[in-house]
Amino acid sequence: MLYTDLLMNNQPPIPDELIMFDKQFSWRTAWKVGRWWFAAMMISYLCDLQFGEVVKQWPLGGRVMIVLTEFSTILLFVLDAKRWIHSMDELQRRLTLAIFLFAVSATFIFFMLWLGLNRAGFFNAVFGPPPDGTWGISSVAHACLLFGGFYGLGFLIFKRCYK
Amino acid sequence: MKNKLRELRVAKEWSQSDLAGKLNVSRQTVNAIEIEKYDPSLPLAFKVARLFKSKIEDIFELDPD
Repeated sequence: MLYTDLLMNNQPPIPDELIMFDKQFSWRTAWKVGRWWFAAMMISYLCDLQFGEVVKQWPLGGRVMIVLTEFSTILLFVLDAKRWIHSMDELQRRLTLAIFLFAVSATFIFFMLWLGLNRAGFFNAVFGPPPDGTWGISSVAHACLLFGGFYGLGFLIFKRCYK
Repeated sequence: MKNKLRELRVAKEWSQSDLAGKLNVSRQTVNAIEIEKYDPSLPLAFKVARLFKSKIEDIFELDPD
């Protein structure tokens, strides 16, 4: 499967193609790799954040279905990303795996730190009570957004090693 | 590891993209090898040597330190 416009020049994909402000950015590749990531984020944004109170009134089966849909889309994203990384050359694969590992670890650590600080009452003490009742972040939308941000940061850090 | 990839490529009047296409790698990888920021794997080193009809040790040289 073609994953990149660059492949038309017989060249394998590069991680730059997912970075929106990079000159190598490719909408086509970004869509092929990130469509399920985007879908998971949108489902979670709508069901967990925007209409969270409405969804809480739904029957248990409906709510479980939403959670399973979110995680299924994440799984599909992982499969697409795996296929994309597999079609890279050795250096770009090494670089992208490092960026993904960084993004996943940073997202996990950020979540753990945030939950710990929230449990300790840090945010309430510093910023006061939140308007929507909790400082907690626990939705897939938050995780997707953080992962995307950390992918960009990881790209900036690791790309410099080879420039 | 030192290498003569840039000299060999320039001698053939190929751009980095041309060479990348022949090796089936990205242009960025060719650049990283040329500026000695990345040491290619053994299969890629063999591919390079075969492309330039040379031996690996004629193109790549281990740093003395």
